[in-house]
Order: sequence, then structure tokens, then C-alpha cells
Amino acid sequence: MVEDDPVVAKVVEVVLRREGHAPTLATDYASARTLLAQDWDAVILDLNLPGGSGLDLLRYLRKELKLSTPVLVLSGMKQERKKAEALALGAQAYLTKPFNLGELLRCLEEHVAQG
Amino acid sequence: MEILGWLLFAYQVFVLFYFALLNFLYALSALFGLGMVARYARELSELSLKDLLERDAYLPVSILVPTYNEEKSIVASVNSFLSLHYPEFEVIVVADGPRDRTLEMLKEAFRLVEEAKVFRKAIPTRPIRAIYRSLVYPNLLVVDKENGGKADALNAGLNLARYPLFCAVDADSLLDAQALLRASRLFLEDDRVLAVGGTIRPLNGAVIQEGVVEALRLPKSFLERVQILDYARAFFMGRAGWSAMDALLIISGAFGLFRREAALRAGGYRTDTVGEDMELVVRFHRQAREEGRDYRIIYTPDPICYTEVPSDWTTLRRQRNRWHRGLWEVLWNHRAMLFNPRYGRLGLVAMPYFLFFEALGPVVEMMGYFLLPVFYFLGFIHIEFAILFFLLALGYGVLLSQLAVGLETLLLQRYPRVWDRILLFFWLS
Amino acid sequence: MWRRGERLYALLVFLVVALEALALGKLVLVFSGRLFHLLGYPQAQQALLEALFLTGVALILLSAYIPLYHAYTKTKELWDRKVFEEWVSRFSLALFGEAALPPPPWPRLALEALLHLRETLEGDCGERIEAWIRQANPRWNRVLKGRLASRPARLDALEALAQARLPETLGLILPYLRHPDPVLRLAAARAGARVAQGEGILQLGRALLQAGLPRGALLEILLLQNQATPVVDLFLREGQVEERWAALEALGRLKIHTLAVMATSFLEDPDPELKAAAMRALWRLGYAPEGYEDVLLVSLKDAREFLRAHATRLLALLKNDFARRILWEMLSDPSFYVRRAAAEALGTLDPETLREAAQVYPDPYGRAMAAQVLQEASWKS
Repeated sequence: MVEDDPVVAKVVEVVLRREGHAPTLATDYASARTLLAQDWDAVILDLNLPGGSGLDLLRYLRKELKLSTPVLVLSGMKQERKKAEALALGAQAYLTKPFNLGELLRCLEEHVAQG
Repeated sequence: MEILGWLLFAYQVFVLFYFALLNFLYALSALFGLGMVARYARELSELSLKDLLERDAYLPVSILVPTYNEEKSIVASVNSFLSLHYPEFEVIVVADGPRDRTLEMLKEAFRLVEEAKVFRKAIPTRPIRAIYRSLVYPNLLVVDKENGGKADALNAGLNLARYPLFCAVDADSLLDAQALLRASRLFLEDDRVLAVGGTIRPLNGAVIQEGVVEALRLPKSFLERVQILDYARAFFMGRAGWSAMDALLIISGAFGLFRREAALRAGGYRTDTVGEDMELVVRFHRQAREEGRDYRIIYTPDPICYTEVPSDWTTLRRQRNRWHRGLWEVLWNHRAMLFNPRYGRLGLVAMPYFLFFEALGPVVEMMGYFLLPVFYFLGFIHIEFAILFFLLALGYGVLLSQLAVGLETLLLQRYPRVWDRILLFFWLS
Repeated sequence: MWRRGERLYALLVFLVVALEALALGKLVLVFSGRLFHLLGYPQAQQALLEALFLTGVALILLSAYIPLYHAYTKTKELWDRKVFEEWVSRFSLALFGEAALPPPPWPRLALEALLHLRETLEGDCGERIEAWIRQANPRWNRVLKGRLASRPARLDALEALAQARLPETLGLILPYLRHPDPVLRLAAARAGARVAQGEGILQLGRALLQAGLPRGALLEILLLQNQATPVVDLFLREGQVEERWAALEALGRLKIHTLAVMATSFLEDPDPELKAAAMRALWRLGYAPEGYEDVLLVSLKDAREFLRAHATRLLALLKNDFARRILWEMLSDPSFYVRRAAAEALGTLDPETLREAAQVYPDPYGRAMAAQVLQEASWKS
């Protein structure tokens, strides 16, 4: 999970652990970039990060690392064009904050099952 | 002989009076500065900043980067500008006829291609040789022009800029990621704002990773540490206070945000002065007041810009000389404003202050130092008296620096190590 | 970023300033006296010593206070953060029934945690958090209605309300839109934008009409709202220049197509800023102002460059011969920006004509502009 807001990170972590997952957290662009190369079941990505943009990370994942890890964007950016951009870059889903926990879990299960 | 003695002593008393008044004003401005910074911090809403970013409520900005011979650092600098946290902005690098490989470095790093750009020369400048666009970053423009000085380069950048706000920076300024957001917000919320200045802090000793300041540590040399204090004093006590009085004369060339339309209307930067940054601000004030327009020019303690400060005496002396010359030039060019009630607190308080204390200060100091041995040889001094006096001067200096540091560390969480702070605190003079 | 405790520090600074003034003042007096041989050397020395002493006292005061203060705040902050995180965990787990919550009242940090969670979650979790916030019964009521609260406290309360988004709190917020202090008005407007729901939205709109906020701020508010349409509509019909401008800007940015027709009526407005805003809005919406050709012609011939530029840009949406013809003419406009707008508009409308212009257009500047726009278009693709 790539997220710099500690509250969001905490809530999602709690929920994921409850469901039996083991999330790892990256709080800024640089550390996220290093972690992305590993084999994850899914990535929950925030767009507004210190040190860089989440979209850049997505681009890096898809174009340079050429990985097809399912990516779920969870961002405060509500503009349509951001959503379009993210989906075009290869994200599987785009959720805006405030988000629905149930929906997040559903999305995750759906795409992890596929990927 | 008696009369001469008396005159010399009178002069010494005058110096004392000058010194007393100056220090008292400094302390007073510490109070004002504190008030202003406190008010600002209280009014700042982190929540609204987040909202602004998320909802596209911002004004796009053109960042103008004038550069001369900076082949070693230009690529890193431009990279840091390109990675700012801002939804829409462009970076215009104006290479002012560099004689080293600055342009080549840029071409390589950013894959520049030449573009025949048609643009409007609103402000006359030295001829432009070529304009380049980057294949990697669509919002980067590089201008190669004949050498004309920093003001001329900025004017060239202004001609090409397309956004309503522009930000004038030094090539070696390192902006805080949120600096633009916090500064430009002020323009959005108040139509009258013409210019915003932020806080400049010395970069020396900081830990930088990939163009982002990770932590601030104290630099090693005494000279650099003293400059940290100096900047803290100048900004938090000086500019904060002036801004609170609506009489801010200086917005540093290292980081300032302006409305492009206002700058164009004022005719751009003046190329015949060394203090072009201050000159533009003074002209903004003057024009607005003469036209009877309601306007605001503010300093905000928040938006942060880091810049490298000289670490050796020669460079420092040259820099300060240049500043002083600039100050004199501006004061002279706008001498009509001095003591002129038409210009409000600017003419009646700010400019006279700068004249008597900032501009004339070194003169008075120099004469004081010069006369001291003279007095000694003429037998007009008691040694212990002189020592006491010196101690007093020292004491006041330390006190003022303490006030500045106190203010700064009160506001920011920038020096995380308590030990560093204590060191800074006591390493004064 | 800001730390508490500045009041004490301000007092300290004031003391220091006062001490300095005393010391310096006395020194100056004494020395002036000495100058005119009214006072002797011993007095001067004594004054100097006194000044030194006072400075020493001031120094000691400051020296003691600042490091202590830092050490204290540092520890406190670390502690607070730990407690805050604990509360976030607790509430998160409680959402699934896996943690028990102590009965309210809860400490300040717990409330902060709740407010942050409210920002983060919606849906049924969001509702549970909303219920908890109500249970916590925070003191906003007392702060905002009271007479003695300080401005920072009120600002904090308004911001907390903005985060909590409880619809019933709108009543607390609206009176602040009439407050003499502009900072509080703006904070209240922001809070109102986030809180208002259902009928509250129009209530807020009406209150904003009286608030006298600058247009930039109004635009912010409109963009913040979840359902801005009723307020935009209200502003367009009953607002003054500032409100109308903000409404038109918001219309375009939020893509409120239902109000596009209202925007067209502003194409004839005497205020040039409103005309321009209307044109921008229509352009953003992609709404062709059919039937308004003669109105646009007026703007196209206006002495003001920005009006001509906006009108030119809007022509691209008309997609008819009239537009093509006028755009061709506008390529020879004396202003750089209008020529550019014309070239770009022509490029989207009819690239063939633009290519023609690049070759045979009589005016050299127009030709150059056409060529440049063509080149940029090819570069982008």
C-alpha cells in the first residue's frame, strides 16, 4: 500500500489484516518505487505523494517493470481526467476518498482473483 | 582641543543613539513579526489546502529560472523545479548567454528540440537566439539568449510566460514541494494581491535526497551558521513586521510570486540596477498607490525556499556589497517616495528606515570603528568603559539573534534535533 | 506546524523589549547628559553597568525558556502521535465490532481521530463514525456561540465542523457568514460548503449572497460543494458581479450542462469579465452558442484583447461557415493571443483551411501563427 496519510493507512491496514491479508506500507515516492519491483498480490496506490506522483509510479510499474500487478488507485483527486489517466495507464480501479470500506474490499477481491 | 574632544564625544553619543534606536526597532519588529507569524499560522487551514489541490482550485504558475554559468548544478535544479507539487505549471529556463556548457547539459538531460516560437515581445530584451522545448517534459521551455543580465533574462521569460502568475527564482533555489501551492493560494483568495514573498533559508548543511530537503542540520563553518541566524532575523522579524504594516519593500529574487499582468503593466524588471527584485516591488507599490488602486503585497512565513549561502568571506562580502549597492540604487531611483505621505507607511516609515539604518548603517559602523583607535590615541577613552560598551553591544546582538531563533523554531519543526537547536542558539555573536 | 505556547513566548518577548527599552533609554539619557557636562563619569559607568545587567537578565530568560520549551514540545508531540494512532486503530477495529469503546466523553485526540476517519470513510462505516462524533458531544456549540472564545479557537471549531460534516451543524455555521472578520467568514463558508445537504444547500447559498466574499473564494466554495448546481443557479439569478463570476467559472469547471443556457445570457452582459467568464464556461462545456452569432461578433470586435481571444476560441464550437469565415479573418488580428486562438480554433474545426492559411494567408503574422500551430499539432501526435 502506497499512502502518506497515516489515518488512511491505518484503517486500510486494520481491515486488510482482518481479512487475512498481510499489507506492507510505503509512505513516499522513493520507498514505494523500490518496493514495487517485488511480487505483490495487489497495490493500493495514492496519487498525492511526497517526492513524486502516484501516476508516475504506475507508469514505472507498467512500462519499465512491465508487471501486471493489479493496481487499485485510492485517491483524494476527484477530477474525471485523473481517473481517465489512471485507468489508461493500466490501473484496474479508481476509488476516491472518502471511500467505502466494503467497496474497497470487494474491488480488491475481484481484481486479485482475476490477476 | 577641547572643542575637538567634545565633538568627537558628541559623535560617539550619536553612534550610541543610532545603535540604541536601531536595536530597539529590531526588538519591536520581533514583536510585530511574532504577531504576524502567529496570526498567519492560526489562519492557515491545512484542510483547505488539501481541498484546493483535490478540486483544481488553483491558478497556474510560470516558473522563471534565469541562469548563467551553472553547468554543474543546472540539471539538478531544473529537475527539482519540475517535480514540484502543483497541478499546472511551466518551467521557463532562460540561459543568459552562458559561456560554459550549461545549455549543452540541459539539451542532453531533457532532450531539447528547437522550436520556432512566435511570441509577443511585451518587454524589450536582448535578442533571443533560440527557444527549445523538451521532449520529455512538455511543460519545460529553455531560452537561449544573448547576455543581458538577470533582469533582462527574467523579462525574456516574462514575455514567453503564458500563465497568470509567475514565480521568479534563482537557479540554485530549492523550493519546498508545497511552496507554490501555499503561495499561490493567496492570489486566489484575494484579488488585490499583487505579489507574495516567502521565506528563504540557507541550504548549507542540509541533507538532501533527490532534490528534496530531508533534514536540516547545522553546517560546519561559523560563517554559514551566522548566516542562518541572519536570514532568520531578516525574515521573521524584518519582513514579517513590514508585511504586517503593509509596507513590504523586498521580495527576494530567490523566490517571489507575482501576477504577470501587474508586472507587464509596470514594464517588467529594470535592467540597469543590481537590486532588480526590490526595485520591481517598490515600483508595484508606487504604481498602485499612484493609481489609487487597492492592493496587497505580502510576505508569508510559510512557503519555503532554500538557497546556498556563501561559505567563504570573499563571496559573502561580494554578495553583501551587491545587496547594498542594489539598496542604494533603489532608494535613489525612488527618492520621490521618501517622507512622502502620499505613499503612506511605505514612504514615511519603511523607506526612511532602510535609508538610515540599512543603507547608512555600514557607514556609521565603519566610522565608529575608525574613530575608536583615534580616540584611544587622543586619550579620550577609558579602557574599561570601552570593554563594557563592547560587551553591551555583544549582548544585544545575542539577544536579537535569540529572538529570531526563538521565533523561527517556534514556528517550524525544521531542526528536529534538539541538540542542533541548542547549538544554534548559543553559537552566536 | 504551529506549536502552542506562543502566548507565553509573546509575553517573554514583550518583557525583553521593555527591558531593552529601559536600558537603552537610560543609557542614551545619561550619555547625552554627559555630553553637556551635566553628569559625571561615574554615572555614565553605572548606567552602562545597569544596561549590561538588564541585558543579561533578558538573555537568561530567553536562554532558559527556549531549550526547555523545545524539549517539552518534542516529547509531547511524540506522545500525542502515539495516542492518536492508538485511537485510530481502536475505532477502526470497533467498526467491525472487534474492540470495545470506553463510554464518552473521549479525550481530544480521540475526537481528532474520529474527524480524520470521517474524512476518510463513507458508506455505513461513515455513518457509524458520524454517530460516534455525535456521541462525543464536542464543545463546538459553546465555542461558536459564546462571546469569549478567541479567534483561533473559533477557526479550529469551524474547521472541525468542516471535517465532521454533520448536517445539523449548519445552523452554527451560517451566522458566521455575517461576521465582521473576513477570515472567519471564509472559514465558515468553507465549512458550510462541506456540511450543507438537502435544503441546507440553498440556505447556504442565500447566506453566501450576503457574505461579501471575493470571487476567488466564492469559486473555491462552489468547487467544494457536493451539489453546487442549486447554488450556482441562485448566484446567476440573484448574485452581484462577484457571485456571478464565481458561478460562471464553477459552471464550466464542474460541467453543469443543465445551466448552459443561463450562461449564454451572460454573453451580452455589460461587464467584460462576466462576458469572458461566460465564454470560458461555454467553451469548457463544449456548448455551441447557436443563435448568438451577432452577440459574439460584438465581442470579436471589442477593443479589449481578452474578449476577442475568448470569443475567437468559442467560435470553434459553432462548426459552421460563419465560424470558419470569421476565424480566417481573426488570423490577422493585431493581438498575438487572438491570432493564436484563431489558429487553434481553426485547427480543430477545419485543419485543411489551416494548412491553406499557413501557405497563402496575406498577413505574414497570421501565416506564421498558422504554421506554428500546425507544427505543434504534429509534434503532439
